[in-house]
Amino acid sequence: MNQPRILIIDDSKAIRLAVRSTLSRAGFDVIEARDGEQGREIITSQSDISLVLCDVNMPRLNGLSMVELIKADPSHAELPVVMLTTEGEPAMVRRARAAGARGWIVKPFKDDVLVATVRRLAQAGCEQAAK
Amino acid sequence: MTHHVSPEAAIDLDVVWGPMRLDKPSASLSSEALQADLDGCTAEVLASHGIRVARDRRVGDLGIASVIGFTGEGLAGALGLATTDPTLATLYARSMGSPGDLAAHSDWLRELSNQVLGRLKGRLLTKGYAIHLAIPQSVRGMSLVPNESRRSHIAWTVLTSPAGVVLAWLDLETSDAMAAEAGPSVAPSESGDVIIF
Repeated sequence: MNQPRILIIDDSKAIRLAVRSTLSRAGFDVIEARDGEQGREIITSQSDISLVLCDVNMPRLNGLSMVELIKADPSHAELPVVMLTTEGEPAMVRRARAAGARGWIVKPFKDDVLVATVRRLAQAGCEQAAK
Repeated sequence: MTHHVSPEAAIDLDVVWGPMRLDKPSASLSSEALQADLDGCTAEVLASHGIRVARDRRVGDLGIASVIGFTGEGLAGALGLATTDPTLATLYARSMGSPGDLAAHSDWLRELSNQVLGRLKGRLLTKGYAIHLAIPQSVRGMSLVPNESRRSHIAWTVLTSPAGVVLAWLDLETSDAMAAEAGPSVAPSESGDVIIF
């Protein structure tokens, strides 16, 4: 059985490394993008992604705009996206939800909480990727 | 060389922050409140990465800093986080579990400063002040210390860890044309919170 593939989009290499380390130990296959633009390119070119973890404040294309662009494409409507950010402003959370994000985690995150959230939401993404 | 910095000196500024006067200073945005928030946010973020710290007043010659600008209604400023390369390398290894290189250390310091300002933003939101964060940038130099003669340094905190000193400081300015006014208090999500939609 293939491991669910998780895309982490963050301009911080340290965060990408931490997420990769945590999720790899939990049995996920993790791929990385360093900003929203690169993340969008990967999402549109790879159909086997089960879930996206996405930062908000990033160069080139920020996370909220990226989610809005991705979710405007019906083929990505079911792809779970969870924002992983230092931001906790309610207006931003509402914007992400309106765009179609499935969750919001405020950094710094706890490893077990990240794994539980990804495990819970990745199932829907796996089913979409299998279609 | 060791420099002594005095947060209390900055607190004396009270109503006049930097070169411009705040027409209608809010009690909740006082220098004391900001100092307390900066102290707490910095210590909490470091603790979340397994780094225990204590308040100190001595700053050595710091060599690397991360700075993030921010703006808000009637507010503009920057948050800085500085330390030495050896201290940063030790803290990185302790938190990340691998030694990393100079680029990784800089990246991690930027992320730490981002987390401190993100947490500070949350505290400001509860007081009715919304700010927008820029992308953090890091700089390397020699003898990086706060300039005590610059009155725009309204708050700074020196924290000592077993690996060395970490300095956080907050520059905040307001303009007469856009005096800071508190909006409604907003309860933000806090570090570690998870919201499933």
